[in-house]
Amino acid sequence: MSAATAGTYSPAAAAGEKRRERKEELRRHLAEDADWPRADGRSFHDCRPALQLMQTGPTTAASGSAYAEFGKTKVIVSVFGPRESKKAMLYSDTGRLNCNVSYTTFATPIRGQGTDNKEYSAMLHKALEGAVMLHTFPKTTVDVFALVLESGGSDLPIIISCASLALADAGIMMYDLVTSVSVSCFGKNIIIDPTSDEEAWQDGSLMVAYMPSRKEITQLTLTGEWSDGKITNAVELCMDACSKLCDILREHLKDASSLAE
Amino acid sequence: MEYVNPLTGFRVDGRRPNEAWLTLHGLGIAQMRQLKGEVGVVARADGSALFEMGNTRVIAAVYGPREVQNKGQQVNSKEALVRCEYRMADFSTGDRRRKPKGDRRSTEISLVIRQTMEASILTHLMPRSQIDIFVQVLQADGGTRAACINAATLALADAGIPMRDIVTSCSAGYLCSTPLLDLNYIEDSAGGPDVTVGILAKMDKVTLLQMDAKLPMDTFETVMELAIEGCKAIANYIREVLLENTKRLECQRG
Amino acid sequence: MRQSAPGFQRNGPLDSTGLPRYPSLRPPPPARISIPRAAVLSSCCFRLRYAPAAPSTMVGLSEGEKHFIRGGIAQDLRTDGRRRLQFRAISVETGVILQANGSARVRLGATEVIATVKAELGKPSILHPDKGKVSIFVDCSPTAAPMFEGRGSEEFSAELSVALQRCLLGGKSGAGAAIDLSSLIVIDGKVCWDLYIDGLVVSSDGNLLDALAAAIKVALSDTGIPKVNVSLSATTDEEPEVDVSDEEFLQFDTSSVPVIVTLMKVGKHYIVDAASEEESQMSSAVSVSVNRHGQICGLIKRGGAGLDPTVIFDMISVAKHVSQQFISVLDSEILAAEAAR
Repeated sequence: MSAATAGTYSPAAAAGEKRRERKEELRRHLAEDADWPRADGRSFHDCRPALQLMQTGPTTAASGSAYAEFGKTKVIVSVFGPRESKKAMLYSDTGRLNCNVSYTTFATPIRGQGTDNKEYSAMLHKALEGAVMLHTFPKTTVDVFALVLESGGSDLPIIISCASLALADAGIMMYDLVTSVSVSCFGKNIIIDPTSDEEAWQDGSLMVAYMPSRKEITQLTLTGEWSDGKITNAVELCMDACSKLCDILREHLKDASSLAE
Repeated sequence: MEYVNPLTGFRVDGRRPNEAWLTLHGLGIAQMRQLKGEVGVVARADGSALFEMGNTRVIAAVYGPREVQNKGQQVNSKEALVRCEYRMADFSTGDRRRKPKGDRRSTEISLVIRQTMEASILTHLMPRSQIDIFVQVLQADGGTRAACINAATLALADAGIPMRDIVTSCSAGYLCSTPLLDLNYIEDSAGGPDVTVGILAKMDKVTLLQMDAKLPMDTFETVMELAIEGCKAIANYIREVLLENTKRLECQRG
Repeated sequence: MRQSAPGFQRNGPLDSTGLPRYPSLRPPPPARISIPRAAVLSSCCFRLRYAPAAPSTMVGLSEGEKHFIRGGIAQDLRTDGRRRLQFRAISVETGVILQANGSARVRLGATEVIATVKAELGKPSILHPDKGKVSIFVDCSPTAAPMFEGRGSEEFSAELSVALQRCLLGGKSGAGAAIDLSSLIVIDGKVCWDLYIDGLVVSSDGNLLDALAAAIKVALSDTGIPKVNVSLSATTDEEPEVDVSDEEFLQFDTSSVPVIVTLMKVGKHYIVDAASEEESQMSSAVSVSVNRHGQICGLIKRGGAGLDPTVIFDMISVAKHVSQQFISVLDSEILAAEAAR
């Protein structure tokens, strides 16, 4: 029994130790104020590769589903509906979008830490709300369930992109695909698509959810201290990345539909 | 711990039980904590009030009479549906803790307040309508139940809802062989008997009586009498507040 | 423009002015309707927009009222006589909750919020052994609106809490935070202060986020953290003994606490400090938190409709400008409130 408790305790301590080392390294880099190699070998403005690791249709029971894997972050999104609203609700001539984001208990280094991100469901809803044509399914509900299998940084942007892919797979009418990318700010430097280690020590973060063909931002959040010029740069960087990601998603959907035929 | 100092006769917060027991009959309310009532504190509610008993501070808001929102809750369409929710702010107690909403204690107090207020509201005058009473505790220092009822009365009067009479409530306890009026938190948590009484002041009818310990019959009578005296004093105060408010409104109309 | 979207084909294709592109295809307006044609048109456009955020759906407005509000905003004269970028009268009171370390009540028109700060001794987290912890929770009392009854307030309260955390607590490393977390440490890795900031909405008439942030700023300036004496006799492995002083208090440096300014977009224009009727007419809103030095510490977009990036940048610069006036008004109110105590 005592061995078991010791066993469960030591990895967390070791992880903490390792994290502290990484933090020291980051701090050293910041003091030098020069480019440093990111842990996974990317440069500051490189996103993690998305092309091969996005799939539609992993869950068969759902109307539409998508799986995304960006580095360590693995997300699966299922879309159900449009179907009858479960709760007795007031009549509405527009449809309802119900979003829920959950984490597996093993998604985070410390077990069950994913419950800290309670606001993600609401954030996902806001990011998608502006893109889905709610008036095409009056009186009904579309459920979007996102499950984070492993959390490896930039979780929410990946959930949003994956969810819009799943919605497209389910054949829900949208004005445009919504893609989302976040950046972290370290001193003067801006790095795109941060991993969780980078997120843990960032000075600030900014996330953009964007509809590239309509050139509309559906969600924008920012924390930490930012000067004006840096915000403009970061938003433009995100929008550029969003457009590129959207092209990838679109290609993927085309491939998937041609395969199905 | 000595809740009543045997030498000076002071209570923990400096009030005097024995002397005041006498003065109470002589129209004084020295034993009660300082009362403060204010009407119209929530701008968008139909009626609202703030009520303070010492450090216990409560806000009540009344919405209605309005259309019944959930038809399933309507039992009798000939009478108004009265609903009540009691909520404590996270910061209202000394040690901060987040409680889940709708815990047992809040549900019980909501029910108590609802039943007490329902007894005085002329529900048959407002058929097929609903009256919501929301009570929010900002500071809890004993006697929240009583303070909530007093605040709800003021808010109902502010909303212009027809009532038989003013309902007021006050608590009394028995510690160190002394009957004590209007217990504060320290006295309340001493574990002694705590009697909360609600009365219709003019009609002299009891609408609420709660006690959570045992007391000999004759002592209970003294304690309850004390609480009723307290209720009457509060009723006088509430009437003053309402009168002043009406005068102010009259002035505003010119 | 939204009008070019394919979803609008129910009424036939519309061009960017909102008028039918092929007038002959559109049936003439029925004679029964006596509302002006402009109002009918605008109401069509409105219905096809996305449903506004939860609290505003409660405001029942007639078409005429909606038209009046939007028309007033377009003419820079709002329903209560304000200009577009003018706040309502603000009143500030400190020390309203006795058992808290700091508290404040802020009234913005008919909106009333209370914020309290409580400090408790706790243990720093493993990841940040040199920092204290701050958490912000908001509760909406049902006294403010019947819809907050029971669990009805949870979603909205959580939204406000998250927005405040994002805007006031800064990045993970602590940059841009309202409170310097390392100032909350008592013994490195062992004891720190946990600050619990609780907001309570007592009365709601729009613009709750800005009011709550202002109340938190005032409450922090009112906060005294007890001085702590640590007895050094204990060895490093044991729990250190901590003696909390009842008399000596330390004040926070609150100069860097930002304020939040929410700009609501109604039609083509932005308004600040919207009352709840005006809030129901917004298509989208941007809340920006700005500190005294004009640096942006947080931003959150609200409302469903998408926004053009240039519009967002424009809104940020307007919010920055307005926030500096708001900070100076708030500062003078804080001084007045302290003098009044």
